[in-house]
Amino acid sequence: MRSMVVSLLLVLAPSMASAAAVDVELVPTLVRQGGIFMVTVSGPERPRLVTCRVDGRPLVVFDGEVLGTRRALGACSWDEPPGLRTVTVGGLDCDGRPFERHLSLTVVSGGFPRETLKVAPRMAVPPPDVQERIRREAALLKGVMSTTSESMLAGAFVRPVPGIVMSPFGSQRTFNGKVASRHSGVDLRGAAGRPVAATNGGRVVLARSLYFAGTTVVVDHGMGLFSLYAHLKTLDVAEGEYVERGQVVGRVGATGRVTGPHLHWGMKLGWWPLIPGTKNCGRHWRPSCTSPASTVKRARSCNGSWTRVMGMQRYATRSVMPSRNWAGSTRPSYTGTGSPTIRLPRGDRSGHWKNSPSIVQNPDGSAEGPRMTHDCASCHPAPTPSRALASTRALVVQVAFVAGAVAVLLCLGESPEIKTLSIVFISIVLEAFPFMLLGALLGGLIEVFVSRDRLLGSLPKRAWLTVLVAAGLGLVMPVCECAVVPVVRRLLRKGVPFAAAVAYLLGGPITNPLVAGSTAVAYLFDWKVVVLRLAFGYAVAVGVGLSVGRMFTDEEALLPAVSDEPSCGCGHDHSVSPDEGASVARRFHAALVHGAEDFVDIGRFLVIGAFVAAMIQTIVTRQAFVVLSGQPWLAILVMMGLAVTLNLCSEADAFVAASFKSLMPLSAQLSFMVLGPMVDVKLLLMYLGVFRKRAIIAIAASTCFAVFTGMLLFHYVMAAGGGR
Amino acid sequence: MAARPRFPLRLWTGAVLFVWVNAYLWLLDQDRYQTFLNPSFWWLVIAGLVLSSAFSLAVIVRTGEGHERPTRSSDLVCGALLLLPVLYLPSNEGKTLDSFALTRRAVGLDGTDSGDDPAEPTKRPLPPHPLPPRPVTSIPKPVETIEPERIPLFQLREYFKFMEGKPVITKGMVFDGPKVPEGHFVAFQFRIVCCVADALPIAILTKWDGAAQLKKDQWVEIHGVLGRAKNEGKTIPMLTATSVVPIEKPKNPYGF
Repeated sequence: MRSMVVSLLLVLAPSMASAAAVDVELVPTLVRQGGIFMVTVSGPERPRLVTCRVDGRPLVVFDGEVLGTRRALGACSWDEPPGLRTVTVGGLDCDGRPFERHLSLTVVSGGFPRETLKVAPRMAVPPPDVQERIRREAALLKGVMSTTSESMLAGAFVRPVPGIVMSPFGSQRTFNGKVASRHSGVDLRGAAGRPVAATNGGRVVLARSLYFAGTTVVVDHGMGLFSLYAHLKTLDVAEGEYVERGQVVGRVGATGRVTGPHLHWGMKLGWWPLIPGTKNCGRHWRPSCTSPASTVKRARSCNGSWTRVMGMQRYATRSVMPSRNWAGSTRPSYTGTGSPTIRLPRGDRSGHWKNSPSIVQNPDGSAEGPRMTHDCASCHPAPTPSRALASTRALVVQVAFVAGAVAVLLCLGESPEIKTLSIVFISIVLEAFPFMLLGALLGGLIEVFVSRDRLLGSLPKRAWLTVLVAAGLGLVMPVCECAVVPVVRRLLRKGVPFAAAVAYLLGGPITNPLVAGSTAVAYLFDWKVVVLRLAFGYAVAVGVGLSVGRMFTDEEALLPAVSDEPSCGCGHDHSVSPDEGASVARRFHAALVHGAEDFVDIGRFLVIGAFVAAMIQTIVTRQAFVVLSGQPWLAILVMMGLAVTLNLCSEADAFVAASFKSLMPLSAQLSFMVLGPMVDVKLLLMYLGVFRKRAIIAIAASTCFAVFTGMLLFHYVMAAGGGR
Repeated sequence: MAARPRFPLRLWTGAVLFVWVNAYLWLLDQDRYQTFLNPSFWWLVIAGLVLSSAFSLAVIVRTGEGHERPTRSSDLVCGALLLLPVLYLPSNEGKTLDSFALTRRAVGLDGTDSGDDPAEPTKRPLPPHPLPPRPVTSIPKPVETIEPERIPLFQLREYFKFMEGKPVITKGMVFDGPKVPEGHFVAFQFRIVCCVADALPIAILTKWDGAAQLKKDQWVEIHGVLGRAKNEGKTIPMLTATSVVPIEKPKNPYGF
């Protein structure tokens, strides 16, 4: 009866709505399949009644922490058709006047990929004797997720393990050739035994072994939000126990239906899966997003003045600070006596707005329930203050660089120094750009046409063996040092281990037939030099790959844009990869777009590197290097310094090295040819588009050390053997 | 439907790549790329043109209905960085490395020594001679009937053993440093493998009485006889010029 009255009021309300004293905000206005969104209704005082519907399907409304606000959370299921939706918010304001607002919500495709997995036959098709167990466990899970508590969230969500995403959310999974399910979470890489942290505060509602999920922990964070950690090796918590954010709940394992140790991390609103991790979110999963002021519809307040209420301002301020999130500050509106548990009705998987049935009546009769959000803005979140500062600093440096370079050209363009600088600068760029474009295209093709499973499946199981193979991959996939960077970036995003990627990055530009050919020509077919160069290049690549692989995890070494899931699927043209069913033309187009992104992203570092290299070539004389090379160790160091500063292409550097034959020992010439394609000024800058700075320092230092010691050893071995 | 940003990123990225498409076309026109690259690397410019065209078209053409990211200030700076080389391109049209670059790249006495000592017998096989060796006959021809051979300067040292004592005609640029003996100048040319960044100077000390009248970086055609000289205790190849004629800069100033 009460709802009928409300409906009647809503029908009659539109003409009077403008006078109501409420602000209605929808954040975000664009949501990905599997994402979440939030509607906030605020006013000077708490609206008496709020209802919220998406194309007629009701949402559940909570009270906000700020006096006078009410919020509804909505989840978009992974099979919700993309398109425009209308969010209708209505009710009664603080003075009892009806209001109604209509907001537009755009649903975009999740761009979910397909995956093919091979597991033991008994896991692909469960034997009849476990069918009952599977049904029982499914009912159990639904049961524990059908009730929830008040919010126990404490700050931003953290990633349970630092490993990269091996398998993204929403992928259609084929087990042993049969489509079995969709992936309701993300698989994070992690060594067996690695601690798994609770993503936020909450209460453990399930901690036991399940058939498919293996040893599993489910944490209720309140408001209908649950996190799930599956395939654990051991449990560190018990059912009923309260956990804090970051507290260890178990260890990474390989229990249940798995192909190897990893963590399956799921986030659910009630029973409905949400995207637990997003691109660029780094260690923090933010269920919220920015709060564009344009989405706020102003309305006249109760006292007649046009103003934004404090709550909205606070919300807007908080929402752009990634360290906080709105979910941690909401409170359910349950005010009755007895248990504070809110019961969530079970939905069905055929519906679209999956949590829409999860409506409970508040004591005052309003519709309520939990909701979550994920949106495009959370794919590309506002940077943290420190990252924003670093990013601003980098931007200022780049602007200063461009301004300086233009000023140099305009003011000093005719001097011999600037003439030399500019010719060398242009020539390095012109030589390197086509190779970079080619590498970017190759990376784009890998991104679109090579599935993660196929790629990872083709790698050896043992990590060290992967490094050995990767270091020699240049023999079959020859690329120069400029082209290898975008290729490696895409391989890393596909899940290739960091150590193996570094081995290919360093070894690829040397251990390849083109370099062997150019070295042979430069040294007049002295095959000893060719073999030594390729052998040393391979050995250094393997050594450095293995050592930095032990120093860093993927998460510690890679930039968030590289280490997180490959496609955010936020709807941006740049990141949506068509699935395997798309036409070849569509996929090729996607590959080109990916390639263009990589080229633009890394190309700027090449330009800066080329300019710096040209400047060094203009200022520093080679004669100065030669006079320093009195001792073998000094000669090696000098040639290494020359390799880093000259920035020559690996196909051309042998000719320069050969010009030092009468001046430098062979070990010094080899150090020039081995180090140059691995570490030089432009490459170090290009690595900034892939790795974190500390990883770049480690790679550069390890490579220099390995080349120096290797060449010095070689020199004295040769000397002892009577060679030059 | 998502609101379209005022200036989507894809248009900015496409515009930057489109500028590069035009830059590659400009480089191909009149073989301007040879100012920077080895002419045999023409395919590199074609590859750059094709790939940048494909990338440009791909990002401009929108196939999906997805949300578009607007162009931010960081994107503008990124594009400006990529356009910086294009800005430098026109100012370098037709320019070449000169004696300043020689002083930075040469290793040896004022650029006169950048390779093996020609006096030392080489144990390595020589590359194939571009000119067929002269037939050895029992009756030596008179000296005055020997016609001078035109040979690029950068090959003089490479074929020193073939050419020693014979009259040659070669072209190069003039360098005159403080350590160059009086009545001499250094003729030099750069040899490149891929691009100008790897240019190696090849220089030869040239004896000519009118050396003082030559201008630095001037292109000259030298008629002379190839021989050797002692300089600071080292044997170096030397060209004794019979005539030195200033000429226009050749179409391909570099040796390849």
